[in-house]
Amino acid sequence: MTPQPLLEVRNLSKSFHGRRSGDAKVMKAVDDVSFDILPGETFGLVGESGCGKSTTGRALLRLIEPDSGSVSFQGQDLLKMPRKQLHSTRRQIQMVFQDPYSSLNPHRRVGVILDEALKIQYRLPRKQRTERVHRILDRVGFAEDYYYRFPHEMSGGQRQRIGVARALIVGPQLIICDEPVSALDVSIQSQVLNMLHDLQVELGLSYLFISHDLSVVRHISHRIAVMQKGRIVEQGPTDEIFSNPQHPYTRQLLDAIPASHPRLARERRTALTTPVS
Amino acid sequence: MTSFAPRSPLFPGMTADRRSLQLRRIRNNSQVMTGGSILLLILLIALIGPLLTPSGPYETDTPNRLLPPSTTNWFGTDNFGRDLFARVVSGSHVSLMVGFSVALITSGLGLVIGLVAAYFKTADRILMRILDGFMAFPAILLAIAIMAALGVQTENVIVALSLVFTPYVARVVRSSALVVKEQTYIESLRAQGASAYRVLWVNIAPNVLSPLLIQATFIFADSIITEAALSFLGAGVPPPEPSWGNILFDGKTLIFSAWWMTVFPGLTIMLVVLGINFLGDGLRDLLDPRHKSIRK
Repeated sequence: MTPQPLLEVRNLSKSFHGRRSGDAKVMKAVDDVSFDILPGETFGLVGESGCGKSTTGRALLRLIEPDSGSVSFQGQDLLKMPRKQLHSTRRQIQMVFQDPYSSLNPHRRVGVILDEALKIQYRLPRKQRTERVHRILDRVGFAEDYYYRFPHEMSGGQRQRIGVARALIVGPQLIICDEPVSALDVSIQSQVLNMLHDLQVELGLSYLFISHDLSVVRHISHRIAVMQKGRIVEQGPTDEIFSNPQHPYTRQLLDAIPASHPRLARERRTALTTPVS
Repeated sequence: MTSFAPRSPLFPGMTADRRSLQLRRIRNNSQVMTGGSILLLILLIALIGPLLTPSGPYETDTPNRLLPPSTTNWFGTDNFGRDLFARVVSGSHVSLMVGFSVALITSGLGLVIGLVAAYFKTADRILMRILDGFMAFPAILLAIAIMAALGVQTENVIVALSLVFTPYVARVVRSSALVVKEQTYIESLRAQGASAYRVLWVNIAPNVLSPLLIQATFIFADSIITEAALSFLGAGVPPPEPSWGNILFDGKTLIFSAWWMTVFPGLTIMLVVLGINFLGDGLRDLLDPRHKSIRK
C-alpha cells in the first residue's frame, strides 16, 4: 500500500562538542532522528529555534557531517557515498535557504548565479545553459531582463524566488526548504508558498519543509514531524497532529499559535484551566 | 588603479545610473580627491621632471658643490655638485617603482595565502604560524636581515619588502574571507556541489578585493618609507643610483651646512606618503561602510 519512500532517514545523530573535543559539554543537536519522505510529498519539520531542525536538513546534504545513522535516497546511502557520486546526487536534492539576503552573492548577477548552479552540475554549451536559465526565470515569474539584475536590486520575496529557481534549475526531486519564508512579510510568504505548491503539483517534487511557524507548515505539509531538543517527539499526517496531538510538547506548540478570534482564545483558556474530571 | 580586479571593486556590479552615483561619491570624497591630486602631481613631476633639470642626476660639478637653492638649481646641489632636484626626480622613479612593485607582489601573494588559509583549516594553522613568525620581527629589522642575506641591490629591496609586508596583506584577506565564507551563498554553493576552486576564486575572491585594495595603498606608502629607511641605513638602493633614502643619507653629515640636502627629499617622502594615505583612507570610507569616518 505504501509507495517506496524517496528519502529514508534512520537514526541520524549529530552532536557538537565544546571548544575542544573531549569536552564534557556535549550538545546533541540531532538525536536518533528517523523519518521518510514519499515522492511528491511535503514533509514538515517543526520545532522551536535551536531544536535541531536546520542541523537535520544540513546533515542530510552532508553540509554538516552527521556522526551516525543513514540517509538513503532512492535506496542509496548518502552518508557512505563516494565524493563523485555524491556530487551527481546533488542534482536530485537541492536546498532553499532562510535568508534571501545572504543566500545570493552580492557581486553576481542573477543570471550568472543561476548559470553557475547549472555549470556545477552539467557540462552544457553556453547557449543551452542560457536558454535554461531564461526558462527557469520565466517559470518563477520573472521577465527576461531580470537576468541582468543584481540581488540588491530585488525585494526579499523576489530574491527568495531566485533561491527557488537556483534549486530548481538542476532538476531535483527533493528540495530541502530551510525556513524559506520566515524572513519574508506575511503577504509575500503566501506568494512564495503558493509557488512552491504549484511547482510540486507540476513537477512532482518532494519537500522537506523546515519551519518554526506552525500555521505555515500546516498550510503546506502532508505530514509533520515535531522536533524537540534534537529528537522527533511525534510525527504523523498534518490533520492528525493538529486535531489530536499526542505529545505534551506538541500541545504546547499548538497552544502557542495566536487564536484567530477572541472567542476561540477564551475557549482555549477555559479548556486549559478546567481540571480533567 | 583597479585594473587588476575582474570586476572593479569600486563598482561591485552596478547599473549605469548607480555607477554615476558612485563617481559622484568619489568626487565628493575630499580625501580621495586630495590624495589623488598629490599623487598625480608627483607622478607628473617624476615623468617630466628630467626635462626641467639643468644637469643629469649623475653629473658631478665639483666647483658648484653645496650650492643653496636658486633659480637654476631649484633644490640646490649636493656635496659632489650634482643637481639635487634631478636626483630627487630620479630617486622618485626608484621609490615609486619599489613601492608599486611591492604593493603589487604583496597583493598577489597575500590574496593567495589569505584565501587558502581562510578556506582550508590545516593550511590555516601552518601558514598563519609562519606569518606570525615573520610579523614578530620589526619590519625594518627583518628587511635589513633579508637584504644582508640577498645582497644590496635594488631588485632585492623589492624582494625583501615584499616578504616583510605580505603577512599584513594575507591577514586582511584572510579575515575578510572568513566573514564571506560564513555567508549562506557559500553554503549554498557547497550544497550545489561546487568545487573548492569555484567557491574560493570565483565567489569569495571578488568579495575581498575592496579591503585588499585599501591595504595595498597603505603597503605602497609603507614600502616607500621603509625603502627610504633601508637606503638611509645603507642596506637599500646602492649609490650612486639615487633614491630618496640615500640622498637623505648623503645629506645627514651636512645637515647644519646644507639643510636643503635633507629637507627636500624629506619633504618629498612626506608628501607622497601623505597623498597615498589620504587616498587609502578615502577609499576605505568609500568601500567599507564599517569604517565610516566620524568627521563630516
